[in-house]
Amino acid sequence: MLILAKLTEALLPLAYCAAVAMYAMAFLRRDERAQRWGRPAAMVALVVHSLLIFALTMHHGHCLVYTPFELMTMLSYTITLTYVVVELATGERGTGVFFLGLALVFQTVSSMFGPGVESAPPNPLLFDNNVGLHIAAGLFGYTGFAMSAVYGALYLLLYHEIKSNRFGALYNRLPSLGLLQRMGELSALMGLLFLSVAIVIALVALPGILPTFSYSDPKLIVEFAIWGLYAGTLLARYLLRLDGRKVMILSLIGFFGSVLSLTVINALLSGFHKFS
Amino acid sequence: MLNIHAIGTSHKHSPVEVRERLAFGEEELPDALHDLQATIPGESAIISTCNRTELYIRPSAEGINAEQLKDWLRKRKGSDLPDSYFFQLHGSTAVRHLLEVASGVDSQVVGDIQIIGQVKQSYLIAREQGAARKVLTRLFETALRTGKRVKSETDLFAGAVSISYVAVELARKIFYPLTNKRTLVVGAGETGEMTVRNLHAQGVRSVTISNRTEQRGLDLIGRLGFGEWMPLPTLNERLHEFDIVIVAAGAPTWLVGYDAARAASQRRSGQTQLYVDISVPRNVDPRVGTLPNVFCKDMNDLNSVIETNVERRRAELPRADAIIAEELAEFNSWCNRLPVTPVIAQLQQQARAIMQTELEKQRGKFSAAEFGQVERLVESVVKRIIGIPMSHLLDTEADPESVLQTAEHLRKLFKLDGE
Repeated sequence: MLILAKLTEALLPLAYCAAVAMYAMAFLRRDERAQRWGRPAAMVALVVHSLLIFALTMHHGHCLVYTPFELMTMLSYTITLTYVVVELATGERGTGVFFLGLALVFQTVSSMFGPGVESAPPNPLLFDNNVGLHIAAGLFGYTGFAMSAVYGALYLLLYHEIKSNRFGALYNRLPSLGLLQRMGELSALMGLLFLSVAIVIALVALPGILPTFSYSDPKLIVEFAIWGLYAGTLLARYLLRLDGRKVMILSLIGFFGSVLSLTVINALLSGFHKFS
Repeated sequence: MLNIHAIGTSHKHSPVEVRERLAFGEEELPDALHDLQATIPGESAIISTCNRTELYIRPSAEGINAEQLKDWLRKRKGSDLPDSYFFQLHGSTAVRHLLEVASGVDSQVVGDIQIIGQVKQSYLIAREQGAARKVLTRLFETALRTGKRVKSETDLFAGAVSISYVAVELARKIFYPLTNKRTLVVGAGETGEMTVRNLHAQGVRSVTISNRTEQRGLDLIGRLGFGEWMPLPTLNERLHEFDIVIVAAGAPTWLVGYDAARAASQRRSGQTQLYVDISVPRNVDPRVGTLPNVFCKDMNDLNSVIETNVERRRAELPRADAIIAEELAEFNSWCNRLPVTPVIAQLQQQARAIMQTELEKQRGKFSAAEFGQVERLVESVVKRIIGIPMSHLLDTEADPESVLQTAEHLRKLFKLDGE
């Protein structure tokens, strides 16, 4: 497993480089060959990354959230996977350069600077499958929300470009407003689904595992609040026919709100709900 | 130098009245090509669009000049236009011109996408009539490939440059998917009709037409072959039903005021709406564009899109030129090797004939299996031997003069051409 991990860890930045190069050429130069080969290159990167996650998880025996470098590779993986799902669902490749570029940065840092071995034995709780699933699902959830926020920002950018009659590079290169909104919704929906899984595991399995578990855990409450905000927005989108700018602003508020509240909770209550 | 002539007229050399007189309809082209072949034997093709009429000729005889071609065109069209309306090019410059035409570089509006199809159509007609053979076929295929490369590798064809296309592009930039959006067209004029036709071509199926005069609106629906009628007085109360509203009416007052648009937006729960006002004077209050999720663009806005797109296309010209230069070099290289092609074919033919004769003499001495092995061996040896001079003939890097000399030596040495 270690050999597979080393091999895929070395290969992965190259695979991401190739994918990012294809998407960048397609975005900047509308190169047809690059447009054709971008998605296969992203798929290759995703497969190699899946192998790396599998090999590292088997090798360490726990979910990869112990060191910052493990978190980075997980983050890179969740970004790529979410992006590929969104691209496959919408067929739009115009934003791949942004997300795969981000994944490349995280993975390169992880591959180049991540120590091959963990310096100290991790918290034994991490070896529990339910804890691992809870953390991984949470990570996927927040990545989905983050990507939704990026789509929201791109939407607002393009919205203002069109409103103010600026028909330059952004107008020409970005997908349509409707498509950006759709991509943002898909990312948020994926985030919501994964966060739901994380919450269900937290409610069902964690009380028996964590000795200090409490239903009034602020992180859990914030998770509920964030879940409620996104679920409410997505529901309102369909029930109240909310459209356009309002939805994207709510998506941005949701993301920054969750980042802010989690940061405050971590700063004030650092001893609780902590696995590393 | 390759003996190819290009003569004719284009938007750069003559006004539209002159171009109209020299134009060939598609149905007229076969007869014109036969007439041209009868007058000037060789290969020929005619490109005729609203912006140009151009003849491409590769005469089979020496001594044909541009004057004769111009005279043929004048006679054919029954006009006595002066030389100043014509251009005449020969050899590599004629070839380059066709590549520029096919790639939209020479178009009146740089990057006119229609020209690729028009050049292709001219080529297909010339080929069907037997007027385009080896050289012109290669030339037109090179030109069409150049056009496709410029289209896919540069932004020369990107961005709309007509009002109706810009309106459609704007709608595509706002809505997804566009196909299920409800469109209202107010006014039965030409620009409105063009816009709705372009939207329909993009898959928009729900189109409603409204006009001051009902009969003109119904006529437009008849011409389009799709669309529903809506009486103009109901415009404001039904405004909320439509995602895209195209106003091309030319009425003296606002047809869509701010309050009506705001009420419509509220009834739509703030769902995105696009107003395109292509009327002069304007018929949609520009304040409509300040409503959230409502976009309102008039002629000035659309023209600024066109200006941006034209500038962007112009900036792509150096990249298009580089592709044209590459393709031109490749075509010239092919032309330089034209005289050696028969030598290669004859050399291969002669070698094969000798091989077969000698093998037949030995056939009785071997079993069928052994003979097969010997045949393969001899064939391989012969291929290797004639491969040496052939590689020089086919070397694209070699000096063309030296290639021609080698071809001449081979012709003499192997007694090719029956010598």
